[in-house]
Amino acid sequence: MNEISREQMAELITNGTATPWTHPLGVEGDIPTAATLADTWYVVLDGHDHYTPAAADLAAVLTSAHCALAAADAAIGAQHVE
Amino acid sequence: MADTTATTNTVQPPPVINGFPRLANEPAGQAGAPPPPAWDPDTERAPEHALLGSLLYAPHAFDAVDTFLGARDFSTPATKAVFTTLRELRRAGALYDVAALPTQQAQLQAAEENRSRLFTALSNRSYSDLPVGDVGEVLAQLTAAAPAECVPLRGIYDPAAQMRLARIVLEASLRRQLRSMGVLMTKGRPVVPGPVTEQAAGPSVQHLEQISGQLRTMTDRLVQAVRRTEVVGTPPPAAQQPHVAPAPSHPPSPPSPPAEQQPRAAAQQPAGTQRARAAMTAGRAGSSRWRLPQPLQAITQRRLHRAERHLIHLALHSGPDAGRLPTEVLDLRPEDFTHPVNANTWRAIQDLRRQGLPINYVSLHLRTADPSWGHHPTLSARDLGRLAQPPELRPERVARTLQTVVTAGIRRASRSAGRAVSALATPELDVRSALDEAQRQVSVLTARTRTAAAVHHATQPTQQSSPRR
Repeated sequence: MNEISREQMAELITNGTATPWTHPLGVEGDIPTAATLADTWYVVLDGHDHYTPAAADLAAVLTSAHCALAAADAAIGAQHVE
Repeated sequence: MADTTATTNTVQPPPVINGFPRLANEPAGQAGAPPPPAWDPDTERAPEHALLGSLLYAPHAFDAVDTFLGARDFSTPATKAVFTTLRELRRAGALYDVAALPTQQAQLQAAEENRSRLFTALSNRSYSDLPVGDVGEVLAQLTAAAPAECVPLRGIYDPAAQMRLARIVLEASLRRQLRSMGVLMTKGRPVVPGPVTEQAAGPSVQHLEQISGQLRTMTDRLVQAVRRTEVVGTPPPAAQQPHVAPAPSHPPSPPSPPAEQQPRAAAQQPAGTQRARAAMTAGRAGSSRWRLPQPLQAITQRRLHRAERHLIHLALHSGPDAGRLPTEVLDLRPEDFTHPVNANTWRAIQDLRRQGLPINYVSLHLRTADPSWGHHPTLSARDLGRLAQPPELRPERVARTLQTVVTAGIRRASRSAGRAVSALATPELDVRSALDEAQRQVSVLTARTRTAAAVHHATQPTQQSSPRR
């Protein structure tokens, strides 16, 4: 199943092998428990305690969300530069 | 394009009352009363309404917003439809950039035109088939969240604010989407910072250390000014000046020697002065911290009290226009005095001066005896009677008095700043108040230093005119 425990993922994030999701979402600052490892999204789903590889549709959403947030940051930064 | 009801097919510009379009289901007979804004400040939809309302009047930001935000990111079919319609109207060039118009009247007319066109397009479903419901109510919510009257104030009509609103909408959309797909969410770092820790107080500590350094620099400058005053104020040779009996412990002051005998003459100076110069020299060579010369370190309460009384004495004899004293002396504040009685008396003197009344011991007594004075402790009638005699007016004596008062004030300020810096070591730290206090002390110190420098400059010509050798 390629499950990765939270402790193992934390270790991978610490040593730089995995990259966690760091963008807070919404006014309450929620952060999805997601991380990329070797170009693959791993997430913790509700009711689970391990990181599992994200399904294709979820991975697509995560990737596009990452790109959209980066574009938003670029647009905000461009306004400040002007 | 899409079928519409009979009501919405008869497209008319929406009637506008006080900037809000009348609700579609509002009876015509109630047109005289303005409808209350029907804006629902829901935390999820409020950013959407604000963004769409701002884009309605300031559509210039659409070009950038469109790169990362789409209709899919809005939470309701109505807001999705409004976003799509606004985008298409913008592409068709059918929306005014209200903020770019010169007058408020033109802006309001353009805003009404934009609302009318959006109302028409939504009613006809020209660009979106999504159900909007009551178009008038939707428009009312947009205009309540982003009133046209506020366009000149920029605010959410500023492009940077529009980008941030768009990002908030995007974040909410992603959160909804990921939650619906079962991704576990964790709480991020709190937006409001917690108690100030020692590490977080690091920049504040650096700032306070910088202020403390500035305090030392100003003290250095003041010491140099005092040294010049001390040299100028040294009694001239006995042949040209009435002899003043020295203190029993000190030998008589000899005449000033020629220049080539200065080192030996320095050895013959009073012990106090030698100690002061030795302390200053040692301070320069041994450490980076300044030490005040010995005469300045020995400001006793009695000496300070005498100096403050001397200033009051001078003020009482400064004449009707206070022209016999430098303005800088009269501009001293009561807070610059150490003893409460002297500080209150100085406040009474300033009151008299502000009211244009003569400043003498009689007017001062009447002022402090007035019931409005509030029984603050001041000089008694007996003390005031002692000040009836003319005061000591020699410039060097006045400079020494002022030097004593200002130096005491500087020491108080330095102690306060030092306490503010040392307070940073305590865990229950209120950095903001400590910083404010230090800055206040620095301001006070700066004012006092300017006063001392100005008085020193004012007394300089008189002193330089006297023979120095």
